Amino acid sequence: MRSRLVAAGIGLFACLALPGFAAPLRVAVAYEVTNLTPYTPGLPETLLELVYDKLAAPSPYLGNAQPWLATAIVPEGQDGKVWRIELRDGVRWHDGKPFTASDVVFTLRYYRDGTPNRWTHHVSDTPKLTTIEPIDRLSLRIGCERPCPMFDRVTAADLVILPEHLWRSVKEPHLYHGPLIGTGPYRVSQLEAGRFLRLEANRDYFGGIPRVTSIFISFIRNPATAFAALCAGELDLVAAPVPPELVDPLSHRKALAMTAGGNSPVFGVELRVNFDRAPFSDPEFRRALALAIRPGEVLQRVALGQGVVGPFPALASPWTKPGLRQPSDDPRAAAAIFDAMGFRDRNGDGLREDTHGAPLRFSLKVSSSEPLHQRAAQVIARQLKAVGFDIEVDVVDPARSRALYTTRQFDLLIDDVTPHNLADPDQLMQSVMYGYLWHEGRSYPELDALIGQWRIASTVEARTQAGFALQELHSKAPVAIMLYYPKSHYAYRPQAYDGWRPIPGLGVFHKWSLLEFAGGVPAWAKP
Amino acid sequence: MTRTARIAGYIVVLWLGATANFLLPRLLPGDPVDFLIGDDAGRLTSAQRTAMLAQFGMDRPLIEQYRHYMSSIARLDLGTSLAHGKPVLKVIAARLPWTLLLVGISIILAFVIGFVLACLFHWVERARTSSALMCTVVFFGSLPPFWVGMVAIAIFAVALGWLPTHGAASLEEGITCGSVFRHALLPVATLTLGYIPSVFLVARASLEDALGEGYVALARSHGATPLRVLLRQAAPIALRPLVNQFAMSFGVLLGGTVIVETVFAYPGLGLLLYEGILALDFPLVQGVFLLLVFSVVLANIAADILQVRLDPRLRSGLDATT
Repeated sequence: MRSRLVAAGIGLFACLALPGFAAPLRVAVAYEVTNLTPYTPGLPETLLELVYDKLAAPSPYLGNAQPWLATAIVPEGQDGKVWRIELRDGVRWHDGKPFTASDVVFTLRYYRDGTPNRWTHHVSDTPKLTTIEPIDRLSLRIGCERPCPMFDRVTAADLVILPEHLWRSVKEPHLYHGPLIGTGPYRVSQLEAGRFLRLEANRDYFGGIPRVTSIFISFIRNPATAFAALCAGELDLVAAPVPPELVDPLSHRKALAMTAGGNSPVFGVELRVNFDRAPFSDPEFRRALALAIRPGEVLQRVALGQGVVGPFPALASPWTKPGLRQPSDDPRAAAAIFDAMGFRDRNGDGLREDTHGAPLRFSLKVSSSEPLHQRAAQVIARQLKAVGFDIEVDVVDPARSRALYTTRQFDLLIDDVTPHNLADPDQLMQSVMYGYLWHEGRSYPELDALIGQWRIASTVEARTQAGFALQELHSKAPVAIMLYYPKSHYAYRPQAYDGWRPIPGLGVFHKWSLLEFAGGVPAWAKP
Repeated sequence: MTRTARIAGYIVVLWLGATANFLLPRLLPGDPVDFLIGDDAGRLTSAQRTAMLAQFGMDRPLIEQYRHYMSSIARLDLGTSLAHGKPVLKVIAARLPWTLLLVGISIILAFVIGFVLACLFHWVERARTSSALMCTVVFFGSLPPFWVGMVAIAIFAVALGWLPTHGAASLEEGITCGSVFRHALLPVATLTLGYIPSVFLVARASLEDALGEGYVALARSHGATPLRVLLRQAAPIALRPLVNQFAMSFGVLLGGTVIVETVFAYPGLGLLLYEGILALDFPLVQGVFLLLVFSVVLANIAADILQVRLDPRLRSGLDATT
């Protein structure tokens, strides 16, 4: 009896002492967590950042990044090439070792010189860091090959910092299976690939107190199963947007609540055009193609009107030129351009033929794992049929879809476009150089001139303007035709946890939703 | 066929399986670097891409990769999974027990239920009842497993709240017998439902053959009841063709778990294979397929041996030819 009383007393004390919710929070994600490092394929940054931190936060997407692991990131000199970084004192890794400038120096060099991952091009290419030198225990200096005026708000907000003492000897980071140690608000307590990842709150976190003490993250690939599990009370949050057709039914369930925002409007669905193939290589043809498409109808039929239409890149991003427009909704103008280019229906079968008499028949690739994309493909095929195209919708498995895209074996393809490609201004340059929007070196003198201007721009303003010019050029003859920006809804159980904060580009399942900020909630973290 | 010819046949099948297993993933466009790096793979220089492929031995000429692959199989080294960063054998070993649990229970249940239904089909002499039974069994067997799984989740997990929707065990409770049992019920039911008809149809046909044999007519003429004739005379003989099917079903069901495990987020080999294909994780996909090939061949060998034991005529036939 006495021991039971003692145990009950300890339990009660523990509950009172914890600031947040003692019961583990159960969250489902749609990707398998096989490991938790920046080299683990397919992991979103939001999950990584529960365990690791970046120099600046929350993200590079909205131009609002503030020093986070750093206390100051300041330019030195006038050429925009050199930056001095001051770091927080007293930060510790989860294993108790102190965090210092040598960890940052190590990480940036490791990313720059070592095996690439999804983020490393932010120090090895755009921008390319030439010098990364420690100054003292808590400060360092970096230098870029060309001006890098966005370093503080883009590069610093892109890369998680690794502990040098654990990663120093790692030669093959994709095979790393050492301790998963970061400075973040959560520590990895257990990882069973295919089953779950368990995180425990880091009570010594410098950035605030984690409000949830324990999180179970399970992997459910099939969205129908994930939302069924949420309805059955087995989950507290599905960290993926609710499919449009489920928004209404789920919003009427008593035990559930829904929050809107999150990814929108810096996440979208686009029609990719293979500019390596004729006739899509002709800018005039691409412009006419964009004019023939009515994104509003796609939004209505596919996303049930839940979202907005807009140009590439993201509507809400400060890095997007205000008033940018994508040619669309004018099939007549499209038809006139096709006629003028010699693509006419010569035999009266309703299909246009090229000057050699070959009909305009193209395939539209779409992934079998994306039912919304398949619906969109049907709508696009019908819209293009109206201007004399024969579009064959080809549903392929996701791996093949990705492979066909990277090997450029497609005419048209529908895919998601993430905030990384839509709202990261440095990524825009990567996109025009490395195949997403164009290939550097492929003849396009107007584009080459703009790339040159972008590279030498040494201030944020000049860089932003150069980005605007690139966007405008792309919009005239788009290779990425934006179909729509879906409005993301997230469903959760409010009785388990009700502190979700939708942040554009990050969704709701991120550390900013789980922190009790010491000095009040920052403006960017407010819903 | 002589015993030597049979063994040679099995070896050829294994070699063909292993070779197809090596070639098929490589016929797909693209390579695993696209998965490892994601959207930014296009910006890698060819040197960087080659260096990454070299980490997994994929930078070498195809014939050299093949040679290395075959010699590695002989050493039971299936390579390193790209997505997991661990030896494939280790990754498979962690998932195999979950799938064996599902498949093992499903096979036993499907055979018991299928055979009982076939006996019932012959015992019930009314044509209308037999036809209704046949139609019902075939109807349920024709339903797509993913649909059956989703309906089962909607009814038994969401509406009634009796069973869990997904996973192999409760996260809070951990791996306990009760938790594992509850989590296995719906996936097992879905797999079993899909496999009953094929067992039923084979059992029904072999029972029909057995019931036409002379010794059955003799038993009837001695006044044995229809039920006694069915269970004592026909059923033991009708079981023999099912032994082969039992062996074959192991491979079929192992493959069938891909859909069921994906629907129920069950962490077995099926889900592992699906994720491996999405990621173009060649070593992992090869490892799982190789396991499937080996298990089917081994099950066939076991079925051959069992057939001989069950039917002495086959043994004498074999001895006569060797």
